[in-house]
Amino acid sequence: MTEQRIQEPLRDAPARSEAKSQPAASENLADPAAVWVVIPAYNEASRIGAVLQNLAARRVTVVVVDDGSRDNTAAVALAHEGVWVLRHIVNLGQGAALQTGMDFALQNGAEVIVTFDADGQHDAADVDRLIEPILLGKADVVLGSRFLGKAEGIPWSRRLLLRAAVWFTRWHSGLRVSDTHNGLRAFSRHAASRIRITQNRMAHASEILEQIRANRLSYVEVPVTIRYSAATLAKGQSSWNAIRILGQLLVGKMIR
Amino acid sequence: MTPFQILALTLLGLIIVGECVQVIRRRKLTGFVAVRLLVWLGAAAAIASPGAVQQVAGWLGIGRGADVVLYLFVLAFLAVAFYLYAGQVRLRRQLTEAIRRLAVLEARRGG
Repeated sequence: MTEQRIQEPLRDAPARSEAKSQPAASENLADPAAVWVVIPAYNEASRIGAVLQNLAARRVTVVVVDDGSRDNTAAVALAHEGVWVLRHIVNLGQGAALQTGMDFALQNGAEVIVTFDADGQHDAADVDRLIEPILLGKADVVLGSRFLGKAEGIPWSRRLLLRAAVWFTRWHSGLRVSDTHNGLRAFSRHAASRIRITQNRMAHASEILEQIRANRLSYVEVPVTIRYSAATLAKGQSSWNAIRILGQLLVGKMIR
Repeated sequence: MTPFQILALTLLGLIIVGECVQVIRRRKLTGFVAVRLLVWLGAAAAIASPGAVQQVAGWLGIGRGADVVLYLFVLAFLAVAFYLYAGQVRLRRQLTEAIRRLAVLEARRGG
């Protein structure tokens, strides 16, 4: 991990004492049950096999949350040794799938939870970089940043939109982050049990940042690599969805 | 009184009596029921005395009584739409929790 590139947490978001007393998690690292990787997946039968193959080399427990896929995503995931598969009977959205996976991981004693995309955009090698600050007790939450790392094949329109999202997040949540809608994150057990995602769909990314602020969790950003391909861009969010996400976020805040 | 007024006021009168009976039986007047009761009473007053609506319109600087009713309808529509949407969001959250619990209960491990 390149320490210089890690963004410092906000001054008014002190590292929590629980996060600082994380040697238990460090000691548990030998135990694959300590680090859980949560992968929300929707119609990813063609790509999730490679993602799980790449993660298999790491000492982590993987849980795939099949979010009501119409293809055989769950069957492909179940073919991998040791991978947990949870299935939503209907499609709820990525935010809901993440929360389901996090609930399951917490129930099973996870010390660190990493969220990872199922479409192959993320690099399994980044998992180590993400969990390190948590294991060292430096932060409750680690956010992957493609703008500190690499965003291979990113279209200029997406780059522009994500930059706009960064400004909105800085204004809205007060968090000084360089990347806001990156699915590659890590949470300490303490952070994961404090954060509750209620935004089922894509607005969850902003909601997580908002809850980091609200719960005064400490955070750092680390550089990660995101690889865009024609297939992932075709399936991913359209730029116009940004407006819908904004609406969901604002209305969601008004309804308790 | 016109036939419409007789018909509408009879209907509204029955609704108001029904609401009052419910309140007395439950011995409880919630905010929501109070607002609903006010809406029925306001509607009854407006139908019974169209001149009063015209007078209110004059006080508010709107001009026509019909416009006051139209504006109130627009505001009521927005309030009801938000109320229904909020209900739908809450229901969706409950459904999400139920589906989540089912998913966790039926967790399977590969290999």
